[in-house]
Amino acid sequence: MDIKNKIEASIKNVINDELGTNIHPDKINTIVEKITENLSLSINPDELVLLNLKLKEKSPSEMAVVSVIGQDSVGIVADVTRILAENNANIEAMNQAIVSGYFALIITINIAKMNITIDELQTRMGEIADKKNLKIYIQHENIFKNMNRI
Amino acid sequence: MNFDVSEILETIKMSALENLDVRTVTAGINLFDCTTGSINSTAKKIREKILNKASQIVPAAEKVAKKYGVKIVNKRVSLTPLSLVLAGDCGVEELIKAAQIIDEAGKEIGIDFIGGYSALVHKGITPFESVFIDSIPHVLASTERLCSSVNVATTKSGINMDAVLKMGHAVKKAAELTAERQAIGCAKLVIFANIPEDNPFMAGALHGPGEGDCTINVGVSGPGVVHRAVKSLPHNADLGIVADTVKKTAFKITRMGELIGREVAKELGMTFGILDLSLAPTPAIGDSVADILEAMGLEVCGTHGTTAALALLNDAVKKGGAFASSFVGGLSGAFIPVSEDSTMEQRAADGHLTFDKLEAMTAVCSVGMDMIAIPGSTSAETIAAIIADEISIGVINSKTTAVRLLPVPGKNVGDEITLGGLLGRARIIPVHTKSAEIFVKRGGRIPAPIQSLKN
Repeated sequence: MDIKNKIEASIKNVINDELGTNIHPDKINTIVEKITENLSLSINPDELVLLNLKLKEKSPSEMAVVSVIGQDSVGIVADVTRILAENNANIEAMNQAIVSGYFALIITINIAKMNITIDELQTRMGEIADKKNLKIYIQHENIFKNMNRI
Repeated sequence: MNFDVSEILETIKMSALENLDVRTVTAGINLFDCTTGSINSTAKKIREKILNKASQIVPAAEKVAKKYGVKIVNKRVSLTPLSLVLAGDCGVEELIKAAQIIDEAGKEIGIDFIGGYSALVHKGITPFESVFIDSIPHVLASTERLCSSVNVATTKSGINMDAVLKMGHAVKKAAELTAERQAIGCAKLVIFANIPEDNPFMAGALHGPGEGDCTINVGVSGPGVVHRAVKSLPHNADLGIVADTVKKTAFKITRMGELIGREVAKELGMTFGILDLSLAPTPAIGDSVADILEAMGLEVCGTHGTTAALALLNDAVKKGGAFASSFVGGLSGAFIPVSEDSTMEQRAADGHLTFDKLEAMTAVCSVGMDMIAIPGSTSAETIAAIIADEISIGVINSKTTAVRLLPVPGKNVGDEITLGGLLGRARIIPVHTKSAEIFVKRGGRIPAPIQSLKN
């Protein structure tokens, strides 16, 4: 199968998966042909090879949630994020609020490439927590998934 | 996947403020491959198998606990009933020595308890099992971690009253042998009807003969979480809403427990067995089943309405748990161990929660007459009659019931005993003093009830 056929087949699969019988097969063929035509005009073969490599490289993701709760003070976010950066934990989402008078900072981090364990990260965060009179919890995302999603 | 801040904060609140925890991770270990024909070498093989299979249970549980920020309070091992594995021509002394070797293995791997010094005598007692039961009080007095359970009845076979009377004497003896330690031996001895084969909770945990080689069973708790949820309801919320609230909370607790159990099992290379969703109270303030009943609207736990409130709670817990996991097993319900539940203990001490009310409550909950301190002068025959009453509730209702009583030597009604740790403290409460001696000494078997004829 040449590259054009491969691309067409994979686009058809995606459309079928997403829309199923909601779309007429002829319509799918028209859309697929137009996409491949556009692609052939905008991407050269070398770029296609690179694209393929990039897809394979796509980083694995494993999330954990860092929750910081306690009295507000200057520099909490700076201290916490500095430790995350030092240990290669990428921040994927961040949410800060004042809940019932308490400061609450919730950071979702990608721990797949983190260079220390959750346990060690907890110890590092514990130092900030002690210094700034906070509670810092680090929990793997699965606990929230399991408790809140069916 | 994104989570609401409220979802994250709720989970943190449950574990940080409301005592949500995994009460126990229990590794069930099959011992049938340890029999040798000689009791001493069998005990040594059992020790080796425990060390071989479960040596990593403590670090594995700690690792998973840290990953999810949830406490795992106890790490335990349950064994194939030792009366089946140690069976042979031997006496009490040899059994005590074997028990000590097995107990030592528990100490070496740093676990809290080992369950399985157990016998299944619901239909009959072999000569060896008779010696084995005689050894139980001595074993409990001379070991630290070993727990004992004896199944004296099933719905299928009826009640073995010879075994019931024998256990009445065993409870008395266990109390006498540990008299200087507030009869702590009795806290490690449970008499069952319809004993589950996969219960992770002590003192009744064992690894049933039908179980596989090594299995992780998990007991989750969380009376505090359920209490907080029920307490937050307005007084005019109807009981359907109360049940629904309990159910939703039980769902979340169960999901958390199964996640932890599966991870620990994976770490240890064992299969995941079941999740036992039981509201198991602890003496910690706010971790009480009685508090939940009172939050539903009872002035005190023990007053009229208590049985109905407990029935609602128990059923809602099961429904929430069954929806959350396909592998709910063990005892799964609300426990009412008096000394271990600070509010329940207080109500019993104040006379609001009586012995007879506790018996009625066990008809609608899990598990039985649990951790109740009674006068040291109570006779073995009276204890046997109490066992017979409680066991018959289980047999007739096709459910597990159990008895764990402490007839504390030298103590009378109103005296206080302190057992420490999760076992808590208790005030001695009265039992009926009129005799049932002739009844319990008749012996024989109370036939299986008509509901056993299901085939």
